Amino acid sequence: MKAKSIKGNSTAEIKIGLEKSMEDGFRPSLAIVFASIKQDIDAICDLLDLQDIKIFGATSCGEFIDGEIGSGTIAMLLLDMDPSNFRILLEDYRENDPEVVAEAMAKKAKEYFKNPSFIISSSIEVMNSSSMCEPILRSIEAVTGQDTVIWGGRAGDDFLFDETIVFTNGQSTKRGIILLVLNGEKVLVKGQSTSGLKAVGTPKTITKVIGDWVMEIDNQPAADIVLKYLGLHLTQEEAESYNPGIIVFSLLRDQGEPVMRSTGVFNWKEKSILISSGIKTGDKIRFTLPPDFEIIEEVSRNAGKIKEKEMPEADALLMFSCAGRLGQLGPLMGEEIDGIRDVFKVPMAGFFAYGEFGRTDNGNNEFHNHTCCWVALKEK
Amino acid sequence: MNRHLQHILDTLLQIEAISDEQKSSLNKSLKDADKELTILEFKLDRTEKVKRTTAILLEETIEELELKRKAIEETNSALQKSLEELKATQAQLIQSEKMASLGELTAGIAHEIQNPLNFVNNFSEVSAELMEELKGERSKVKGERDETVEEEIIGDVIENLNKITLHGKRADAIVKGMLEHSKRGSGQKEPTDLNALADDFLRLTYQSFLAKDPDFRAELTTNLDPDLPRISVIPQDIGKVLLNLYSNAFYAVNERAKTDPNFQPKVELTTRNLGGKIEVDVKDNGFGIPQKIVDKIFQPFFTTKPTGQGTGLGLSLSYDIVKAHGGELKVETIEGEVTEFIIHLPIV
Repeated sequence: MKAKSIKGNSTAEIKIGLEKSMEDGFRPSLAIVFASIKQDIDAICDLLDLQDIKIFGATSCGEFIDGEIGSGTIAMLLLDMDPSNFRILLEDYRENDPEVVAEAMAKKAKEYFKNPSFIISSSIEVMNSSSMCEPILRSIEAVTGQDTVIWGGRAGDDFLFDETIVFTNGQSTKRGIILLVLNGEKVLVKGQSTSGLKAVGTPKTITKVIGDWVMEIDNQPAADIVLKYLGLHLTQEEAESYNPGIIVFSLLRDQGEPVMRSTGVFNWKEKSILISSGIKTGDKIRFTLPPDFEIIEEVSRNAGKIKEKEMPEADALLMFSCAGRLGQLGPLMGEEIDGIRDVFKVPMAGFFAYGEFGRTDNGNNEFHNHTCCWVALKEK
Repeated sequence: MNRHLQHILDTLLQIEAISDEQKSSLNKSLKDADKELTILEFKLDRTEKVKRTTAILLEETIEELELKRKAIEETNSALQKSLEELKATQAQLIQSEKMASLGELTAGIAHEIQNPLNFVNNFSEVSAELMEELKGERSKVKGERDETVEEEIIGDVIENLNKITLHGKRADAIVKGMLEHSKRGSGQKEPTDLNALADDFLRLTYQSFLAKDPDFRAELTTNLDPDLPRISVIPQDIGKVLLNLYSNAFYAVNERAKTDPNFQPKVELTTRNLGGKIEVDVKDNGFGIPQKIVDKIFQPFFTTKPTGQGTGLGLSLSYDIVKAHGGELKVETIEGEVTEFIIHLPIV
């Protein structure tokens, strides 16, 4: 399979890039598109429709095809994958529970391929759907098995924390699930999720949760606890506009590595804190600190090991990096992206997501925050 | 770009003496420097934040560990207190058990004392009658007195007095034994004739059973090794062990007798010098002990007797006493046929 990646600040720039990529006779059948919510999604789809290219699309919080991270732009991975080896499914979940929709989609995928692998994204109302993604994973696994390969990222909206979009040819939705279903017998999919975050301090128990808001930790107001660890004494005004992103909850699991949960904003009146991606009363957590700066080399080194052992010849690379990671690695983020890209030396595209889908080391398929999930593709 | 770097760049770009190629190179270098500066600023800022949080977490972890240490200390203290209370309760239970066994002995002792007392009373009465006869003989006129008769009477009286002394001493020994048994705390080890001790307690316990259940009968067999040396033991403690074993044996055969009128209860005491140690066996032909509970019988408070009839401490205490003497107490049993408790005590 041949792959090319292009990026642009507008549909017009993408059009130029697409045409240029096809000058050598390259005829992509599939475009994996990550675009700023400010972009004209319909125009992008029309452009790709004209070339009869199938679209797997999601809005993002920053897009890239290399270490130069775009903001408000479009990044695209073009693949000339055999159309019989993939299907794209997109469903709106407003009429049904997301997990019911996901189960139906997985069943359809199973009809297409005996052993399907998935690249997944979903669009959401950002402030009110944190706990949605884990049930989606479990629904898919219920149909295709726990060993199913699932990687992806939840769509972003340039940090507006409002609504996100997933899209395909002739269809887009702000409340939907999109699956790129790959024939597991024909397309090799290998990936890894790494956070590099270090859990510190003693385990604590989440003692009260309302919706996405953690109200109490160890029976004490959650906001007080988090602010205490930040070492800050903030006024109400300061606290309500403060992003406590440096502190992440490391959610302990019975099996495999812990799963990361981002902290969002404070609710000063309720003394609570918004947590991304779902947490429930009784969960055990440890606070974590950002990864060492050496994590950049470590992520690259680990990718190298997987490449050597499991996928020496990849065709293309996807990357789903947590939007929160931008704050944690700042100007170093580009080095992390380039570090992985340089391992595989193949075209890539990625975006900053509101949470990543992927398997922990020795663990299960999970929905994380603060990870860098990369996925290498190889068509046999 | 950092404003200082921007100023340098702007100034350099205005210098005509620098070629375009050099300007381009300088521009790239300054941009690289700016990037590195940005990264360093970011690292410094983040390191500062992380350091702050780490210090707080560390401090809290130390506080939590300190709290846990205190909690463990308090738990230890509570455990220590419980242990002391447990020991006190255990001591009370041991005393209660001792008193219970004393009570059990009392009936046997009373019965035992009754025999010598009967002898003492009978021989005293007979002696008094003989003295009356002697007095009558001596009141006769000279020539009618038969000195031979007088000598016979005096001989009989002396013999009776010897018997009275003998039975008096026997009663004395029983009373002393009872007093020994009721002594509080552990006594001193002293050279002890185990044959005599085991035999005495066998009889006392049997009499005790007879006192409680006059219809009870058992065939007692003693096979006492005449070559048994005296060994250093605390007699009242070993007596207590024997009493427990005999009581259990009589209880077992009695229970079986209740269910089978043709059953012949048998309790057998055997002592042996095994060279280096002495063996004392107490064997009964009761129901035996079921295999499923045989491992539990030496546990404190384990009893098969109905509520109120056993504390469940007898065998446990016996085990501890024998162990404290450097010996061993074990059981061999065939369910429905026989139970044999075997004591081994070192010859020291």
